[in-house]
Amino acid sequence: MKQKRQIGRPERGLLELYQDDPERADALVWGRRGALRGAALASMGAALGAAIPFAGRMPEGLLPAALAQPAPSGGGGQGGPQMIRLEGKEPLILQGERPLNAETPETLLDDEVTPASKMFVRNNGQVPEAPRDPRAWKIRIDGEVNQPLEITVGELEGGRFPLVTRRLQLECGGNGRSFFSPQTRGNQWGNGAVSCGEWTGVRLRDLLQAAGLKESGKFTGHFGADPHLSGDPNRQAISRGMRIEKALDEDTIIAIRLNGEPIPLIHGAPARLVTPGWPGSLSQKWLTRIWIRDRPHDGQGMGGTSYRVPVQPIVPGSRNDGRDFVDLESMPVRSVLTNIAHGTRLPAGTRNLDVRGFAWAGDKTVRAVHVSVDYGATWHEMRVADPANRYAWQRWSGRVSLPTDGYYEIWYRATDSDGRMQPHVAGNWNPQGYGANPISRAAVLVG
Amino acid sequence: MTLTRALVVCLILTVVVLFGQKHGLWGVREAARPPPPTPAAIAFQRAQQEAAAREAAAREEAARLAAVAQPEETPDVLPPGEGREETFAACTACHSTAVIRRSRLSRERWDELIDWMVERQGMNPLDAEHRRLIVDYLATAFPEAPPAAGRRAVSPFLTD
Repeated sequence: MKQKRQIGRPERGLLELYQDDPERADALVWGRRGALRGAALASMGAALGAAIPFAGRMPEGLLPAALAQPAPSGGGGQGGPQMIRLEGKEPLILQGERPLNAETPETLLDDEVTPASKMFVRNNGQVPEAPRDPRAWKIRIDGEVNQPLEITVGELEGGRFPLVTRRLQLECGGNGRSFFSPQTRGNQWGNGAVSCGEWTGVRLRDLLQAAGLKESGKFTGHFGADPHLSGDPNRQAISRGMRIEKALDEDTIIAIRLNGEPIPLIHGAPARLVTPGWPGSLSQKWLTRIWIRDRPHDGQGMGGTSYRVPVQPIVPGSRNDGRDFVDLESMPVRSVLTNIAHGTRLPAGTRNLDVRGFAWAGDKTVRAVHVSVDYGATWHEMRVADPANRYAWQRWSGRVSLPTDGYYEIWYRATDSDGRMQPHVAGNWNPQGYGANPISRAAVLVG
Repeated sequence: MTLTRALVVCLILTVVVLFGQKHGLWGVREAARPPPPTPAAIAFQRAQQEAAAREAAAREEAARLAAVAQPEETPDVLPPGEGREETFAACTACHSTAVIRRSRLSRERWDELIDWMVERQGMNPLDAEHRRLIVDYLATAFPEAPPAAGRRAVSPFLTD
């Protein structure tokens, strides 16, 4: 049905026009009253290589998706992102080699349970050497506990504590960062820094109970074996922590298996935290120690503007030390479209299009997903399945109609259980770019 | 008596023959067969082989990852300009250039980023001149992208 071919290459002219002088470009293209005018409409259509059926509804100042974002196909098309091939992995979008970071294209996220081969890769430091004897790997729990606990992976496997298996969404705190304007620093993730694997492990709360959590234990601090990028053994690559309430959640686990197999090295072998629904940096890989503290943890990646968002919105692009920010906890509602790639060309005459994907909402669930093919003028409600268990993502699916051939954008928007929707643009701008979850747009060309 | 004597001679002959055979003086020499391995020994051997295979696989994986994580980059991966070599040297001490090449920031925010690298990421502080050179290079080579979304994306409140 669909061909993985990029839409007729956008002419540089229009894009450049916008980059040089957006105001003039808007005036030329849209006219003073914001209506897309005859000749300009034809020229935009020509740039896209297609007619734009719902041009009358295209919001002023929004570039068509085909011009605004590179097609994600790995076909090496012009303007597409650079891909990376890692052993045992599908081709992923390269974010950086050192530290090693790679994003999953949305169309690879079509499985209910994400295979390890399709999981995004996020590192802050170097990937440590694989343990010689995984079963001898030790994890220490100390600090505000009556009896510091040291336990091996072998003991965790041995069933001293109940083993639980859960499908858990794991999402980078910076997922969606590339949607911020002005750009923020860090990896420019689209929507693909997310996975929903089936993790097996023991509940962190069972270990805390065994160690005798003290009343004074209010916060965790996590440590892993990954060396700092500089190689300095006295620095942590990342060491974050969370409120004790989240540590005591029944779905916060120390995992030893992913999808029934030992965890791959790159995903934290032999043991890692999985703290679903909260920034992925709280799911410490290569876990060696959990320090229970009587105050918020102050390790690498805590405080300032790291994994923190403003309470009182700040001017986008302004300088801020983050003193008045709060830690990002539950991730905001988001959806991915998994069966149609941005930049897909469909056969002439295609009038109905089946669409599907997943949606999730941090600690909450997803109440609804809507799709629009006319720039948000009308929205169509999709079917949304219940999560397989708490913190699993939810499948959405449905069908939309395309009245003619031409250029369309599929806009998809999820609504969480509190009624909060993905907004039209990324809000609450912050210097390191957390929490961007705007409505996503995938361009398709019929004919 | 004769019978008894015959029996004793027989016995002695038997002992001598068996002794000779055992010590290889005559007869077919057969190597002592080792006892068959016990199930425990088999399991132990298998575990050792598996551990060795795991270790080899882990070493290979580590080598592959190291090859990916240490791309052979040279300064000309960055666009030409004054300060390119200094920028390359200062930044790639820790990370590869992909994250730089993908960034589009104003001069102020590149400057702020250097503070963050020093204060939070353990970067060696730069002397003033060196720092100016590097920030100027970054701000010129990777300037803030004009907002693609049109005039409304330019904040009228942005004075900093």
